Amino acid sequence: MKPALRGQAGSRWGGRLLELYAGLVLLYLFLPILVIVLFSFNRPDGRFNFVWKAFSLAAWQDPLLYPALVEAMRLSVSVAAVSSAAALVFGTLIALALCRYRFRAAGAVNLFLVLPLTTPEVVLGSSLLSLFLSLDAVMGYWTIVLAHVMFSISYVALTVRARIRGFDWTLEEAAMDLGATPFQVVRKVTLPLIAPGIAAAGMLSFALSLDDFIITLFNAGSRVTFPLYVYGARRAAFPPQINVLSTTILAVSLFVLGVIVLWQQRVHRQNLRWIPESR
Amino acid sequence: MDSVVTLEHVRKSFGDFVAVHEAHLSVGRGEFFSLLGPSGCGKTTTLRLIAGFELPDEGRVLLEGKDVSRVPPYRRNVNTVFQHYALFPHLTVRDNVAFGPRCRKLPRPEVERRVQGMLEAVHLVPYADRKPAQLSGGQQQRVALARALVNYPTALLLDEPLGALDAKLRQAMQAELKRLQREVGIAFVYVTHDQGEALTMSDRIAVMNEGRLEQVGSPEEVYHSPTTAFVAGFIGAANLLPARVVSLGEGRAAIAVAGDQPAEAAAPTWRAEPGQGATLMVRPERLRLAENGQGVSARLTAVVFQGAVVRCSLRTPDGSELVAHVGSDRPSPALETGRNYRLQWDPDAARLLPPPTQGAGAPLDAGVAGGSPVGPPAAASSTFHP
Repeated sequence: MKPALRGQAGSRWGGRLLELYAGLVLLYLFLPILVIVLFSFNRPDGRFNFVWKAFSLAAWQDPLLYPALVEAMRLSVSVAAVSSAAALVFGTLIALALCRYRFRAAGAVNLFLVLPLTTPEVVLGSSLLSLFLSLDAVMGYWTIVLAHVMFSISYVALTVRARIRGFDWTLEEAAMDLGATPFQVVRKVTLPLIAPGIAAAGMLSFALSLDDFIITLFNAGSRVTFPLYVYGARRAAFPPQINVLSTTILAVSLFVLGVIVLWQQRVHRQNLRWIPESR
Repeated sequence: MDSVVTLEHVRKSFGDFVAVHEAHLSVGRGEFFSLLGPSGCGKTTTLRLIAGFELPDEGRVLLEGKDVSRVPPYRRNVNTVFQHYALFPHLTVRDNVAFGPRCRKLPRPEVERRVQGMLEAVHLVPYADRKPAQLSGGQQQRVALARALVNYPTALLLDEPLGALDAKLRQAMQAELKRLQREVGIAFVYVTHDQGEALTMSDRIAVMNEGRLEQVGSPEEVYHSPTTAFVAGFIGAANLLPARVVSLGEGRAAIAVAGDQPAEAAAPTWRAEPGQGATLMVRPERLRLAENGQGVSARLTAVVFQGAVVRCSLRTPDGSELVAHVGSDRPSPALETGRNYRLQWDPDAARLLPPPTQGAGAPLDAGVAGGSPVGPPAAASSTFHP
């Protein structure tokens, strides 16, 4: 008992230090985000929203004031939606194939999945650019989408695979045994059970596409996405509307993330607990 | 021909591994048929061949006389109760049971009527709106049964359905299963490695070993008249001794056993010649110990009191080990280790099995060749004719 007590007393200072340290790390992580949110309520002096002047709701009341900014946002959301949808289809199919079947190329596929995650974006962006140029492709909307699909597939496949690792495949046999055609099996059993994983992957790839800068810069041609606009804005004008739109993205992401996490927990509990007690 | 499930010379291999050799059997309408064998003997593969999850390399699978060898599982009218039930975790009990009828696009009132009736039959109405995770093991088992039976299958296939339950619940579920089977009158094909379970529940048992059907027969037949040493050893305890046929008489065979001692056994059901080697099989409870008189001489090496019986270990002069179960309430003769006793048996309780070399490799023809696929083989000897 005594050494334990002494240990506790001694660790009191250690505990305080640990808390302080953790707090500083969190501050370091979240300070930039806090600044963005805070400055969306700023009334800047001049064209640059970099110095705090006064509290104002002006930007929130008129978030769509700058057509070029709105257009950039629209482009980003559109690219994110289209590229995520495509990556979800392909990535989920890859994940299903990797989990379900043992095939000779599985090792190679695994390697190719990790490559886009580990390769520097500069390399990916520039090699895609040279590919598009050698194909005489018109740089613009579709080259951005293709580039984003390319790296999103990896994230989707890895996320979905992690989620369906423990999937009980006899459920598919059971469905087929009960008269479900292969299509009915997917619709009634497989998809409902792996949907949380797919949703999480979709969310991830949407966010990755929305904020990608380097690869997009190489392949955008004359089109301007939201991150490209923000980067360009630092020279001409940086209105608080940028902060407003960024804060909106943040809020929506947090909300969707929360919903998905709750849903996943529910499905996960079901999946874990249905296994019969074996005593 | 009132056979609902028939396998005709079915063979299935995975790569170099032959999981099922020459499976040839048929299951009658309303029959409780067990596939019994140690793990890896091919019994689950046989079940999956009937369900359609595996396709045979050779031979045919027939359901109600129709060849379904190439028909996918969702178009075969058989249903499976899986080892771990495979209930759909995202659906309620009611939706699990309704899954089959809905997939088959039955009209809604018909689906509801069937589901309700099935839930009542397995006493699950109060749990209809729960998810499988909220049920006990026994309740999940009943959902799995209801979900399969609601489709009125030609045959119900059960893959070690009681394996995940504890011993007490298992006994209760055995009785429940048997009751349900009699009520619905559907043929059950029941895979198990538990010989007690197979003996208790089955109308007929197919004993499998290393992908082969060793014997098909009623529980009494496979227990009292095993046709191979494997069956004798797998079902219950058996003493197996090398023996030699001396002469063959009316229903009796004179043999020499345990160092050329004379003894009697039932006439073999296979073609034996005097002078031929064979294996003698006697159950421990059919052996009697006597102080003197006729019988095979053996020395008592150990005595273990086991409650209802006393387990006696004996050694014959040629070194063979034997076990005899003697009723523990019978005082005579006094059991003293180290003493010699005479082992006696009723000749009908002693079966002569073909020597291992003859038994292995001979194609086993189970049940079908006799003309009546449902009933037991007319004579066990038919088992050894192609």
